[in-house]
Amino acid sequence: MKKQRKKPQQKNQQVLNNEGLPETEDLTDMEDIPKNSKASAKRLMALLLKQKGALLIILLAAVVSNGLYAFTPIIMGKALDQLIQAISANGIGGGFEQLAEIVGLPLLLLAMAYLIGAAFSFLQEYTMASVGEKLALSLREKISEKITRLPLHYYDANETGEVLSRTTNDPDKIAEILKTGALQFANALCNLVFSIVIMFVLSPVMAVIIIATMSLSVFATKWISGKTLAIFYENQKVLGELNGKIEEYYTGNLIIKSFNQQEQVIKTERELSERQYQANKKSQFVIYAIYPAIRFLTQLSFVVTAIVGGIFAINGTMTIGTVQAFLQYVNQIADPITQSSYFINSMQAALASAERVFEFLDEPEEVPETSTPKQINQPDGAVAFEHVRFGYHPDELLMEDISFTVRPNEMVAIVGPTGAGKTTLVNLLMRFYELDGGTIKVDGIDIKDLTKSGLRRMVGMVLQDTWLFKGTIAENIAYGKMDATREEIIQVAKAARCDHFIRTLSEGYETVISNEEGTVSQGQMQLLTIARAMLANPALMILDEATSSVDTKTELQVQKAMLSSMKGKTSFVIAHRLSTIKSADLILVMKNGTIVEKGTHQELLAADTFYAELYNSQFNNLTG
Amino acid sequence: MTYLFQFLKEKKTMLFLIILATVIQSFSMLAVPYFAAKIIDDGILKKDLMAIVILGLQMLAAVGLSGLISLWASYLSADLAALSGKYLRDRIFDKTQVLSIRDFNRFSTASMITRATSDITVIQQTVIMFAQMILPAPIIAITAIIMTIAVSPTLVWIPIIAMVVFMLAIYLIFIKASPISKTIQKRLDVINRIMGEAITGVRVIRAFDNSEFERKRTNQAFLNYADNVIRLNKTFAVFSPLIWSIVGISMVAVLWFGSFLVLNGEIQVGGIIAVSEYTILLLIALIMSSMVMVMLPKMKACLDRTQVVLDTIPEIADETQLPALQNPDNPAKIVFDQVSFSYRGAEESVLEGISFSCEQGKTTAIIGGTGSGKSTIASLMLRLYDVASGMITLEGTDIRQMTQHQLREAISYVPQKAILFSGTIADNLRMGNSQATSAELEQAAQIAQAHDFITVLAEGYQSPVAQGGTNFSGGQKQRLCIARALVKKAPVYIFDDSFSALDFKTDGALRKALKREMADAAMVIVAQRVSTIMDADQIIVLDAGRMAGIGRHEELIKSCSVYQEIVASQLSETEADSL
Repeated sequence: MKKQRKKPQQKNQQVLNNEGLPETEDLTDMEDIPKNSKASAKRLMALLLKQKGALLIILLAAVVSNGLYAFTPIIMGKALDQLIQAISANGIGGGFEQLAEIVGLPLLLLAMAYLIGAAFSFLQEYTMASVGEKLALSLREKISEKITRLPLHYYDANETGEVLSRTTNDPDKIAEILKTGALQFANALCNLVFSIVIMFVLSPVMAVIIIATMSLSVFATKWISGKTLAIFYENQKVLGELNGKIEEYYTGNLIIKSFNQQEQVIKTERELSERQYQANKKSQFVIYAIYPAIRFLTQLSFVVTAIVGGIFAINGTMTIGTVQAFLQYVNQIADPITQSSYFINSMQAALASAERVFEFLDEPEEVPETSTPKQINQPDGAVAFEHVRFGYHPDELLMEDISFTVRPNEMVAIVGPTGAGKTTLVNLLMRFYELDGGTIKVDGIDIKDLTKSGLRRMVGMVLQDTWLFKGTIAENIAYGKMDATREEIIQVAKAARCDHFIRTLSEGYETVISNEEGTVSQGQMQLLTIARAMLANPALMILDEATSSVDTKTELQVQKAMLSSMKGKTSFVIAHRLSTIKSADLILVMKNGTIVEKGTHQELLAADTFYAELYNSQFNNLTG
Repeated sequence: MTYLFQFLKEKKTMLFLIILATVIQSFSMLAVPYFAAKIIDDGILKKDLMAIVILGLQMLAAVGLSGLISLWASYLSADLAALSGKYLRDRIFDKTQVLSIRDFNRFSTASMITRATSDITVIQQTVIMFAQMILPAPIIAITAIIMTIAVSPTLVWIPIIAMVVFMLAIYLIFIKASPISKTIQKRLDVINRIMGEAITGVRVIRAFDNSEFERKRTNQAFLNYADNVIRLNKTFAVFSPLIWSIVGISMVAVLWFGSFLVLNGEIQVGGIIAVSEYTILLLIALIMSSMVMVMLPKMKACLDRTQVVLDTIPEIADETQLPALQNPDNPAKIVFDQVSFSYRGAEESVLEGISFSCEQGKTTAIIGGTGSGKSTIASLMLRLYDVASGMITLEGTDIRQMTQHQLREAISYVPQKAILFSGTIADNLRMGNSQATSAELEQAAQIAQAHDFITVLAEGYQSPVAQGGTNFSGGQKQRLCIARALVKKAPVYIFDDSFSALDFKTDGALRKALKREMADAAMVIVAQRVSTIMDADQIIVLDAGRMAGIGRHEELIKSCSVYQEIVASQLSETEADSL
């Protein structure tokens, strides 16, 4: 139905930041800016609050450990002051006993502060270890449930990569940011508050000086990061160009080699590679240059504190221990300040991710199933469409009024030009879409009165777009009947004409295949999916261009096999090669969403019909 | 790894300058606590205001020097990192240009793209992280130890023990964490794959009523992933408390033993402050580097992936000593002589005992069912693979006896899958013949039935082609690919199932034009439709890798049962009878 484009270049996002390490995050464009941050934040918070206990522990631990940490400079200062006092009172000299009297108590306190802080920090980290991931897991489980409930409309309208990113990357991002970011934020905030309060208590003047000089570095950081944005974008742009070119050349590898273009493409690659080198050098430099710049400003603050503190100490308004404590505070609050800007950015990214997940979870779902389902135990396979109205968009009807009946065991062929609604017709029978009017009945029962699973179990379907999952060939064939024996699998494989090529593969039926890898060709994939449907052995079979990539000879053989296996079954066949459907009991000719002609091959060909026109256009070319 | 080391060896001077800058930087950084200690000892304790100001200014100078040198080191590191990426990328790209198609496909296109793009980005980022975060750690550690010794040799064991304990603990954490990280990556790949399958296969899943099965399968994958991530997080939960404890115990130790020395007049109070700062700065450097170390296994994986490519020896190598060859007058352009081919380890061979000759001015068609091996014949002609036994000759020379370049100059090829490159239509058409005039382009396009739709475009032959040719329909792309092949002048043209996206009318017109305009060439047409090949000079009928018949349409229709079946499946009964 829709084309799916793979993007092999993954975004490299290594958010690895604790002590203000550079984030080597691609500057992702608009993606990282949430549209409605308040609503998403609220919802994310509500989910987070489900783990209230854990959050409480984390918060408590943050307060305790950072509180203790904030006190350590004062304790150290106290120890130094007592040492200086003791020396000036008693002079130099003394053993460890005297020392214990002088600094024993403060040092004991210091050790306790650090060790208790460590214990709480462990408690915090250990608790946090699962919080983010549990949240992500719960989101993912909701997503996988949602996937089963979304109407097919949704999948028609959205690209696979887009859906995939919402389900895999986004929860990961949220978990990662919660784990590192939120923890850092809580700790940085506590640390900052405690340190500032203590500084003000110790000396308001010094506190103001330190805060003033530190805020310089905040502004500087902001200013620099504003300046550097353009450089980042340039780097991203060039990198995108280069990677795009490489992707293109690798995809067209066969052509490049068969046209001897190797030298030309190497030349182009070199030019782009050189440009990328220049851009990358610049952007890496600015990322890493920020840190010496910030460190420079922090150290400036350190110098000012040392000088002013020294002057105060000489005046006697401050003890040496306190000066020392202030010097430590400068270092202690420098990190939280630089981290806060990182946190704000990453929190925004988390919210944007959460928003995308919520959007997905809020998509309208399929119409709920009937609460009183009927059952068809032994289906005969009679199908009736009665005045069916349908459109993919409510205001744009594709089918106005479709009616026809199929008796049990009949083969129905549906033909017509592209866009006539052939696939839609069988999709409606599968109840992939809801009708806008009319009814579809199987064995006289409205399919709305059946459960979807009950309906679909009666019907086997083979689509033009083959779908194989990564697994062995045997597993793929057995997808419709998971308990099938190997004999059954080989039997249907033979009937679907795939046994031969399966045996040419290195591992035979145990060969692992997937849609991506080129182990098997498109035609071979179609044969496998036919085998799969045959194994499921349904009462009703739908073949939607099932053999379009298979050569005509094999197609004919497969059809014979299917016909014999479908004896006593109703089947719907959509085919663009009219030669393959001549034996149908009923041919429905469709055009622009309506059935324009009905009848057998002979009946339709005898009259001056659209069918006859289609049929002749396919064959008159052969003789010419 | 080898290639990165090779690169670093080439950039010895730069590496040396980075180390030098880092040494200066770490000394000037550690000078700050040194001066702070002096301010206390020489300034405050001696109540010397002047000394405080002078020392303050010296400290400022140290800060300034440290800042400038850091900037220089950052610049050098950025340069080195960017260069390392360029170095590896260029080497990989060159390599992929000499690898055979099968060598290349063994990696899969997607994986090859990753190796040349995002893997390189990771390496680039890790190189700069290494230079900026890991490399300074040992240098700062040594500097801190030297400066501690300068204060008091008896205190030096405190930072040393702290360092050793920290490294030991980190080592243990990483030992425990690294298998978990590896599992996590695998689990994540599984999630991506299963989710991708669940989304692309939504119709099939619902048709087989397997939604519940898929939901359980995905949830299981999610759970496996989450369990491992939590385990990893819990392993790393000891990291912060570990730092707390080591820092705390070292501080207490510095104060305790430092105070003892002060009490006994061996050092001054400032010495305690200096040593405690040195110890903390040393530990911070170690912490930073250890956190970046997490990146190293990832970089190692990327390096290994690139190395595999760089180490690959092309399976099809040109003979170094090539005999004088090429005999353009030989009318037997391509000859298959008892050629067999099979994939390694396969039960059945793909081709067996194939012999035929493509003559100048003649059209050779190859027809057969899905998997009959017809496209493999075209691949063998281009020497994308080597034959298992038998021989293929071009104008009388074994194609293994000529360079691949020579061989492919002699063959113009239209692939099964239409691939175009971004640029203009003219750029694409000139691919095989950069000297082609616009008249030649037009002529080729006319034969390929592409001229009409090209001229309708606003910019004609200068119209842009998007990457992958997405702005053209399947049939248009195929016709452009045919035109591209026709612009290239070669004695042999191969059409590998290239008419399938064309409607019958265009197909017919194209073949007529080909016959008329390309009368001198040897043509090989691989096809599924009988109508496409029924007027060929010889038709080779393949069935499960063996030749079921060879001859003209009229002969085969009488003698070859496989051919009869193919014809019967495509023609209406009356038409088949009338033939």
